[in-house]
Amino acid sequence: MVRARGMGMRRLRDALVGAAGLAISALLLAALLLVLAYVFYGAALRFEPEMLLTMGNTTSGGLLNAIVGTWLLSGLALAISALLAIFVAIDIAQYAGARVGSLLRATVDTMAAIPAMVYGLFGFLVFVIYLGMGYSLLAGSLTLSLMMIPYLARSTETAMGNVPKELVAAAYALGASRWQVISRVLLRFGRPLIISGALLTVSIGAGETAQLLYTAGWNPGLPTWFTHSQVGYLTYVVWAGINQPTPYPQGLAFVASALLVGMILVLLLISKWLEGREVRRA
Amino acid sequence: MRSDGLLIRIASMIPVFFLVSIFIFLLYESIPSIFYNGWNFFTSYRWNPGITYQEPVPGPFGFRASPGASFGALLFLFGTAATSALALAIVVPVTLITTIALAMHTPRPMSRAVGASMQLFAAIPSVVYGLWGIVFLEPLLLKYVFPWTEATLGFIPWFRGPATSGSGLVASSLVLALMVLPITSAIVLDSFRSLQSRFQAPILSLGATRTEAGIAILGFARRQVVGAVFLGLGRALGETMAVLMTCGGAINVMPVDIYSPINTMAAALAALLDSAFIDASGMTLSALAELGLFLMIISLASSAAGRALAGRIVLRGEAW
Repeated sequence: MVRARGMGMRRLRDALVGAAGLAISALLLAALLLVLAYVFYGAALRFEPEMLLTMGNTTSGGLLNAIVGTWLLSGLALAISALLAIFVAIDIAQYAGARVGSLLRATVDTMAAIPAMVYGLFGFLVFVIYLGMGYSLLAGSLTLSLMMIPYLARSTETAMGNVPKELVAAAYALGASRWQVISRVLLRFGRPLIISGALLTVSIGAGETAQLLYTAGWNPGLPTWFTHSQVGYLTYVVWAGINQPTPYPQGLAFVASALLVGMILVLLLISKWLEGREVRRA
Repeated sequence: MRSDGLLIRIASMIPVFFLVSIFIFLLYESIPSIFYNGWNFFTSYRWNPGITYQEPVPGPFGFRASPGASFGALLFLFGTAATSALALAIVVPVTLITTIALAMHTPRPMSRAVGASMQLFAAIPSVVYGLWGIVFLEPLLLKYVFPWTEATLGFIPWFRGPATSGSGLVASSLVLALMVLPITSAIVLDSFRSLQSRFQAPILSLGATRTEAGIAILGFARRQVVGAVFLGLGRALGETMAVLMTCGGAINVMPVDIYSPINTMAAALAALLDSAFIDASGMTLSALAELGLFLMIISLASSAAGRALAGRIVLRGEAW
């Protein structure tokens, strides 16, 4: 390790690496702040009240339909994926043996690594075309939920693993069935962390685009039904608006970005606050 | 197994079924394109749905496509490889040097705060990076960076220019680097810290400087470091929106220098799926499915390699 080199040279290199590393870290933080500041400042410059109060079509009008659409899509996707992910987590935690457990874990890890656009393509082929839903809330939410399952399954598994073993043993000792232990002990005491994971998952889902381009479509108004009625969403406004040559659509794109980033940061903060409170209690 | 267990097992197998069906479905959709295009898909860069308003004609193996259709994805494969490689060329040294600096040269509370803030990068949506790339990064590159590279590196043909747009390889790779960095740095910093308490004091007591000790500890964690790079690569290969917005959307023209528009597999999928509607033969859709299948295979392979080396994937937002 210690080469026969002058001590002065080695001290100098040490100082240089430390200084360069810290400078790069500071530069990265500056870049992060720059992205955030640029988005919020750009949005503030271009903001008009009607952007939040009226519906629009990415070139004129407002964002109300897109805001509602983003919540509808990520809310429904959360409901669908939570339903499936909770059972995956319960199976891993309480029922599965080594082989089924590793199959389920591998599935979750693999789903987390599939590119967003591949989900988009699959959702388009299966939900939109083969199942005939058309561009719609249901097709978009189903596609989005595929991408959410791994996040939820992982956080629910962690939440249930965090429940003290003594509680589980005590419940079994009192004669509780396995299902009673799951529903009354694991899910109840794991709830704060499960909710924290769900908020994190929604914050990621709300920022996704590629899954929705060819499954949700775009609607200048609100969807009228789950299928065959297109939905608008905020990330689409960012993509479509910023490529327009005129200032107003670009303003919409900036305001939509700021809304998205703001929403995501708030959800993340609540999620981390819940998580921190749980960890302190444990 | 009792009935509650059976019901739970059925529910928990639905995601497994979805995963298998994604693979089977894309493979099934790709079959016409795999036979029609053959190896051309990987060796040609010409992507042409053909004359879509004419009656489809039978091609190789009898699969029908519009007259003159040819689907070569080389441009997209090259773009994916080039953007990911350049992004990793930025990410890897930055990750290593910031890990040493944060873990060895910085007080613990401060380095924790810096590490956690870096994770915020992962929370910013892809389209917002795209917007930032278009309105901030691209003008910056075109106005200040590219004239400088043309002047100083212009003797190399790839840098000669003249640059006419800020979008392309450089903008896409820079944005990708910002998006991949939280993943690699979280994994590397984490595995560094798990070894640090055991090895730091003995190495320092041998007379090593903090940097030398950091390099040695990174050496012990090289498995995780390589794994982190693979996991980051898996993410970079599949990134769609930020690249779609900053790559310049090249099609049928191979890039000649670093200023040329390019395209990646994921971005091309997003941009070209529209064109599948006007091709009644269905061959465009099939070729895009083949592109998606190949993209899925390479990013899953990269992530699986990373997982095997570094342990389970750190999901976005999970690291802090």
